[in-house]
Amino acid sequence: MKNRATEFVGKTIQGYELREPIGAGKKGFAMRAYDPLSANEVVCKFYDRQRIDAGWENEIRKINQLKIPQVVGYLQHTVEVIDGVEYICIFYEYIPGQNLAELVETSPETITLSFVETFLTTMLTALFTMKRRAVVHGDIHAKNIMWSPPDADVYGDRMKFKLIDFGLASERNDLTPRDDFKQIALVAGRLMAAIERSTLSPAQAFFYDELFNYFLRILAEQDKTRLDKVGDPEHLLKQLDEIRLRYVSDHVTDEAESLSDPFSYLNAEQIRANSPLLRALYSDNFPGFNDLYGNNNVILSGPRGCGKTMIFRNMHFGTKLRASNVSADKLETWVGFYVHSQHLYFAFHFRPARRDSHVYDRLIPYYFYLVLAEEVLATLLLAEVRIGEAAVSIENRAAGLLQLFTESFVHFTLPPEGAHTLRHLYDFVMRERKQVRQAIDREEGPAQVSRIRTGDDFLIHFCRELKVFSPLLRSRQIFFLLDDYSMPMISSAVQRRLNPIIFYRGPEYNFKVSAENESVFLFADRKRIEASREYIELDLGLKFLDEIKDTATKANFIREIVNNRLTNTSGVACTELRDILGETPFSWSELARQIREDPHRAKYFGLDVVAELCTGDISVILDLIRQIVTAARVREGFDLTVPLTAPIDAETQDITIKNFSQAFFDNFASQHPDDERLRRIVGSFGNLSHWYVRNRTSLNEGVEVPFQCTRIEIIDDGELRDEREIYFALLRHCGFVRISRGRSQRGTLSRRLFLRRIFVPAFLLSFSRRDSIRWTTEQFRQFIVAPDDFADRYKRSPQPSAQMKIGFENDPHAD
Amino acid sequence: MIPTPIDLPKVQRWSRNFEGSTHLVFAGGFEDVCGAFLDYLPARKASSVSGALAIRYLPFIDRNETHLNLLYDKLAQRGFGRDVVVERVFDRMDPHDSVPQITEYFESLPSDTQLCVDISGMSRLLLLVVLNAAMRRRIPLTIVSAVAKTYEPSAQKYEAAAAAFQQGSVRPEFLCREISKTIALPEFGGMHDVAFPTALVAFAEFNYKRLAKIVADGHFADVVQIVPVPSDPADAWRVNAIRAINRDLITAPTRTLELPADEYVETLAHLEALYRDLRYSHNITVAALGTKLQTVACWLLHAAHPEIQIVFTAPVHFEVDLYTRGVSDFLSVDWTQVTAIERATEMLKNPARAEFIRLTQN
Repeated sequence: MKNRATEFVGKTIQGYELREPIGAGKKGFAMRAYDPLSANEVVCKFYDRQRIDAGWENEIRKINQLKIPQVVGYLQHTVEVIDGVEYICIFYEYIPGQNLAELVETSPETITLSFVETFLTTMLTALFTMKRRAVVHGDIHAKNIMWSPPDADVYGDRMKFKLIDFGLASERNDLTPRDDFKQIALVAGRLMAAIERSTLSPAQAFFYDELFNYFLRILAEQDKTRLDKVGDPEHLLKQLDEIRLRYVSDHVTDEAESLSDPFSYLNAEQIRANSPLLRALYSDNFPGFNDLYGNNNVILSGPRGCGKTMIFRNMHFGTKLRASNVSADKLETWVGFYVHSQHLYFAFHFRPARRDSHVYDRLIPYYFYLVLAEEVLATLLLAEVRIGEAAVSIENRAAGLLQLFTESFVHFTLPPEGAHTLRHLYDFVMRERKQVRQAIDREEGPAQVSRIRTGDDFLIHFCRELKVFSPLLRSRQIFFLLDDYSMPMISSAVQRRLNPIIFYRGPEYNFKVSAENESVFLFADRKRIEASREYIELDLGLKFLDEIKDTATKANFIREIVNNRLTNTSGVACTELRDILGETPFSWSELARQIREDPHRAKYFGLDVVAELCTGDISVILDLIRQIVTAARVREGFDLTVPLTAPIDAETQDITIKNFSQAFFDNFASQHPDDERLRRIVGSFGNLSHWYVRNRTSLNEGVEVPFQCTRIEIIDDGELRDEREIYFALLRHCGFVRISRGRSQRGTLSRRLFLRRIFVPAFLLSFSRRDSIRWTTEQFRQFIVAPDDFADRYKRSPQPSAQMKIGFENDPHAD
Repeated sequence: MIPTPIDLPKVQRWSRNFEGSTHLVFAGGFEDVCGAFLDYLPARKASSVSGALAIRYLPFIDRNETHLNLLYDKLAQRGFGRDVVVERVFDRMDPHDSVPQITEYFESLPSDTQLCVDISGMSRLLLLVVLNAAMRRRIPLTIVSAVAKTYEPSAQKYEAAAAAFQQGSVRPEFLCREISKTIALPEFGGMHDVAFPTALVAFAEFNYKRLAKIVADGHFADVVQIVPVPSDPADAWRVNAIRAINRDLITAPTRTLELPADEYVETLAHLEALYRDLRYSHNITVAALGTKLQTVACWLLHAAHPEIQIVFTAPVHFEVDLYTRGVSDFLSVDWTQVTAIERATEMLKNPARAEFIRLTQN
């Protein structure tokens, strides 16, 4: 039929003004029409009555047999004579949007996996009714399926799919009807071709591959000899659901795991992220856990190997969800979402100077939001599977969350009707993050700024809306557990920009940030971030040194950690560390006296000695115990697999502890470019302390004991100036642990520096903390500049120190 | 896990001629194998070769400089003066600024260029950068890899260190001292998902610290170690040695694969099988610390699956006397049919979709 649509523009039929042609086929054409009286917009299809096949009315009958939301609505039909030609005019509801063929061409970015899933669900739902009512479309293809975006003016509106054009079927003899099921499969395959597989998450990739490998094949199958349930929409809808369930059963497992050696895998990084060992080897009796679990921002620091990652990974909601007995009522009053800073590192590890800083001032937080949102949404999706959808999300409370996304993200489109909100949001966030990351990698950052609408308050609103949407989160505080947020890995430029978000002081969320000592950039933009106001500082090294005064508490913590390991090791008969190491039968002053009398006679052994060697660096202590056990096996045939009759020999322990301590010192700070200087400073102080034990005496309630100083007291509030950098390197690498008595007004030095405990045997010192060397800042500066020279001069000086005794009443080794 | 059959040109002994090649690419390392192929380069007048790219490493190592000058001399003796040899710098420790300059060289080559690329002196990272730049331009190339006469450490050195380790001494390390931080170039940065665990597919080598550093810097849920199997049976002990040195760096390494050191198709087939095994549950990071030819397989894997991240660590200080010596043979791979390489990676990329299209077209 000649397409006369353009000639019809401006004509009026049945009160409708014909406005524009919107499609044409072999038999007719369609126009958008508008009734000014009712302000109603419709589609009018024209067929030349002389040329149309018999049975044309089946098109209308079929639609009226269905009357379902997935099929275009019929309004009326008339016969009109226009310019002498008689037309059958059929009026349908107008569907704003595009057909799927146009969508694939013009906006492929709209097509996500959840889009395809919703498309399939919508079409199968339509096919269910069509099959029940014996209606066949016969000509389904991408142009006959309309996609309609959500109406921004309608609160909570969703995108829709509608089948149109039921006009070609068996009634028209010149065309063979095509199988509706196979055609839907082909359209779905075409939609999926718009998705770049390599951008999908592992779970999405599974779904994507299963759709191609399995689902679309059974959807397209027409041969009943090859498949039981050909063309069964109900069965197909169940199969679609089962793909997701299959993913969970196949890939979200929690396999049992045990250690083969109690002292292997000393760092959390060595324990695979989804291992049940993470929980089994964990103790939440670590010092300071109350601070960490409270509603405040925390910087968790400490020497390498102090268990920061272990703590965070155990606080991670995802880890808890993998436990076999997880349920909503067993969860704490908070929910932790774990993010490792490596996602920021890999995105922004260029030199900031090479980039346009104002662009990255906007991109960095935007990317950070996407990383956090991706983690939250993925974990909530896992929670739906593990503790039930109803406990995690309420679909009809999603409007605020969707509104936030609509306002915050330029490319966000509301989910189709019936879509799963969390999955849709997750699909979007993941894709958006990957696109931004690719642009950053290609140095196309500036072009991305136009997509950024989020302000610094996005996370606040996100958390608020999550609490509306999710019953699980409603009464729980949200913690973001940001691991390894340390300079230089996360540069000061990146931290400066993220810190206003991280150190926010509101009720919506808290950040728990782990970092190496002195490696968080304590400025948010240009404003200094204040301890106690914006965050609480939790230094595990400090906790061990300063806040746990008694050896017994330390020993119990170490015991719990090691005993957990022994219990989780197959074939181990002894599960008590105290039995392995035995007691330490001397006080620290007795140890000091032995050192003074004959350094070679002084022996380090027993549980209390090992506990006192810990400066929070648990993995170091585990490694030491491993070496003691190994040495005992070689020297005396010690065997953990048989019941013990006696602890490991004191001589074996002593040799191993001293060798370990010396080797640790020899490798101290080896990653630092000026490592030799750092070793020289620590070594000089160790030697000076040893000299004091040998040559100076302290008074203790009238009794003379060797002077035992593993601590430097800095008695004024001066500045180190040029030596600041090396000083902070000493702290970062934990040569000394700084015990803060509060930062000074100038933000400079605090006053008390403890020698790291693991170095004590290397320099033949005692563990007593009774005495200290007191220096002015200037003296300390001189010591850093030329440690050996200064120490020599200092030893020769007439008044070597003012001494101070600190009492530790609960310490049985103190006297 | 069944290795996926892949149709790619096989590794062959190099014919020791440069027929068809118009440009050479080599790097100035300090081992004898580096640039050894130049010994067979005919005089300029009698050769199709008209230019070369020489890559100088940073940070500066005296032995590298000496060796590179030696290679320049060899070229000069054959009439290839500095007018036709372009030099680019590659910073092993901080390569971000070096990559664009190397890429730019390949972009500037005429359209009828055919390369002869000597990978013998290339760091694994440089090798990936060079392959990436050349293949992006679709330049036909021949890969040449010289085989050394002797490899370090010797069995005796290893056994002495291993015995000490058994007695509680520190884990033995060879070849280099101090390891860089983990290096990940944007080109091979992959696309990991925040909420999924990452599996590390790690080629192991004699210095465990290179892998340990990656494990420490990363956050891995699983590790698959790949140990290179030398082609010479006399070196077979090295397999168990590398396994022992790298044992227990992380919990539950689900498997260790032993793959031929001088192969890339078989390595790729196994990598692809690993990918298929892990793709639904893990992000995947590959620590490309294997042999040069195994690194070629890593490049192909990444070309097929760009979501995979490839990482490296670089030695800070080489024990230059503890590396290979001499040259015993040359291997080569013919990638002059670029479409064949592209077809092979395309086949790996999205087999599910390709199969669906094939079925529905019938």
